[in-house]
Amino acid sequence: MSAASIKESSATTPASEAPLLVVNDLKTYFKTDRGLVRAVDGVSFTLERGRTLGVVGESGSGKTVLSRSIMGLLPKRDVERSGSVKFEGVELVGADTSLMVEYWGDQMAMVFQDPMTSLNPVMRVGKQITEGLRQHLDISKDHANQTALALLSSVGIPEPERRLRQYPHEMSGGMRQRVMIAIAIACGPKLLFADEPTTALDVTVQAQILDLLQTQQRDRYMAMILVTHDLGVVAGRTDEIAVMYAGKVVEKAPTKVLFSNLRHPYTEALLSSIPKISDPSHTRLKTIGGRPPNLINPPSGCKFSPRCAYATDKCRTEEPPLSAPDSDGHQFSCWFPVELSAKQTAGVR
Amino acid sequence: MPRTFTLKFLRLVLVVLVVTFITFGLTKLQPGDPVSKIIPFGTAQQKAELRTDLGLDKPFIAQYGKWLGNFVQGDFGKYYDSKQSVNTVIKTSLPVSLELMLYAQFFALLIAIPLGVTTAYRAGSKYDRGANATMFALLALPNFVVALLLAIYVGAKWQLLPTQSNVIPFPLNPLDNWTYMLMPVVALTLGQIAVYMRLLRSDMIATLQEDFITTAKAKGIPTRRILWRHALRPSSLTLLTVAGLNVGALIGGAIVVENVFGVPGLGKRITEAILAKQYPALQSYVAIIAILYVTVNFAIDILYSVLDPRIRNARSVA
Repeated sequence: MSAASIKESSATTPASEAPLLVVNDLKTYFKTDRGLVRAVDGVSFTLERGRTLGVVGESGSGKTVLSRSIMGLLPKRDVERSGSVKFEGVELVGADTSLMVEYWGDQMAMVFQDPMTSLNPVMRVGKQITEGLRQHLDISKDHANQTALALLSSVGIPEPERRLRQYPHEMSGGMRQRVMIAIAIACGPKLLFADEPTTALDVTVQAQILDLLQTQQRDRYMAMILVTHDLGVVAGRTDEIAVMYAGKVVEKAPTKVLFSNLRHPYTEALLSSIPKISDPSHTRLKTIGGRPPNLINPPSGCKFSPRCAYATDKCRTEEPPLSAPDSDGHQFSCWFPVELSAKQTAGVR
Repeated sequence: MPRTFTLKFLRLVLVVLVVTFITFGLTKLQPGDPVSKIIPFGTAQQKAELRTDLGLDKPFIAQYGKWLGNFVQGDFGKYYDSKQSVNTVIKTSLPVSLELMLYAQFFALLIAIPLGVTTAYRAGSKYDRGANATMFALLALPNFVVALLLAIYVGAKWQLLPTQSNVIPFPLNPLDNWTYMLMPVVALTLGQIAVYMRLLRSDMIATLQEDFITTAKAKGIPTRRILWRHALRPSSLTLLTVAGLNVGALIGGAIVVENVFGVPGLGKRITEAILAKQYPALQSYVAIIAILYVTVNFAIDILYSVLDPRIRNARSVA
């Protein structure tokens, strides 16, 4: 899309009235030597400011690519991105990097998966925070340093003055992830992506980081997209959950509705693969049989059908569409959705 | 740090000892005899006397020991025949060679670094392939070929620059100095650019895949700044290592280039000393170069920790 049409769309929809983020039929394909990888294949949702969306799926379901594609962080070469991403009414798909630079860090920011590799190893932590501040906010060096100090305190880092002068390798993983969060929230973005923010961290630190993200999200009234493979992570921390499988959203509902009334067999399988403390020891872990589908030659019909316990011939030939939201805002794509009784046997926490 | 410093210094001493000892051995393996070079038509008795005078009749180790003793005390020896002090020759020729090598290194890096950074950023593009092909072609040209081509065309045919630089007093006024230095520097620089550029390019490509580059991008840092401020420094360690080791190649190249253009540098003096069998002079030149080489690489060792803070800690842990 050209710069002219970006201006047009922002002119027709005033920023104040448009929802913060509207993703419509977003597709992201990677051109590889083996063929076209359909990593994200038609995802739509709307997110308002102050709300949190959980995106859940196993490895290779396209959830990370989805977040990067929305933010426009993927490389341009060998990537086909189509559909629409409107941020405050401004179309971002096809937008020029020169426009995106204005949004990145300032309007939308991301906390990445692995804090051990996401910080520049040869740059002091303070510099990594102030750099973004000075890029976007046009403030003095002193002012930026003061802000960085306040940010470090607010993300719960003790002795922030000393930490500012340190290099990433002088900090623990949890500390680094706190720094990453400080960097992400530095300019006061309206939308925060958290891409598996706790996957690389110790279990003991995970809850702290998630709580920190939640506090910051509430205090700053940001919209947050929390990407994870762990349904437990999103359970108490999101307003809405989208379950992804093979690049598509297969079930989407407000968090409470999803956990009390899940309809898609994949969601059910994901949930029952979480080990439960109440189980006696040596209980065999439930797993989802098979592997995530090949995204170059996906199975025909429902992509989950080869691994689905309830699959029929119809599932293997016809792909179920994502249903229109019901009165609870619950959507799912399944010909034979899970009924209430089955859900109870899956053991909802 | 003081301990590592001492270790480095000991290593420097060891390297210089080994290098000079081997050079000394090599000079002895050279066919012919300095005495016949100095008085080719002297009688056997005259030659024997001269040999005793110059200490050439003494055993190999004793000769080496004498040279070493003098060298350590700052007496770099004398030319056999003219009795010219090697110290004075070094004083005039070393700065010329240093200037030549510094310029060559400086311009090689000045051209290679931006090329490496930009080709890495646009890896696989037409620009990248074009730059790589050009640099490969330059790499395939030995510096003596470049030197001769320059001398023939720029110097002799088109008369743009002087082909013989043996008249330059040092230091000259900058412009004059440049007219003499330009062709030798170009001849010495061209081959280095390709090496440096390709090294930096491949390291940069790897760095640009790193997560922290995506972080910088997600912060809204402009591409130019990401390349120069975030990616270059962590990518430059290999380049720095090779730039240090390459001083050896530069010295070799300087010998060739100085001879082609008649630059009165150390390289030219070394060639003369080899041909005239001026052993003490040759010994001292080689020792000076060895010290130079080891010192440069020592400095680069220190630069590592400036470039990458993680190395500082690795050292203190070890």
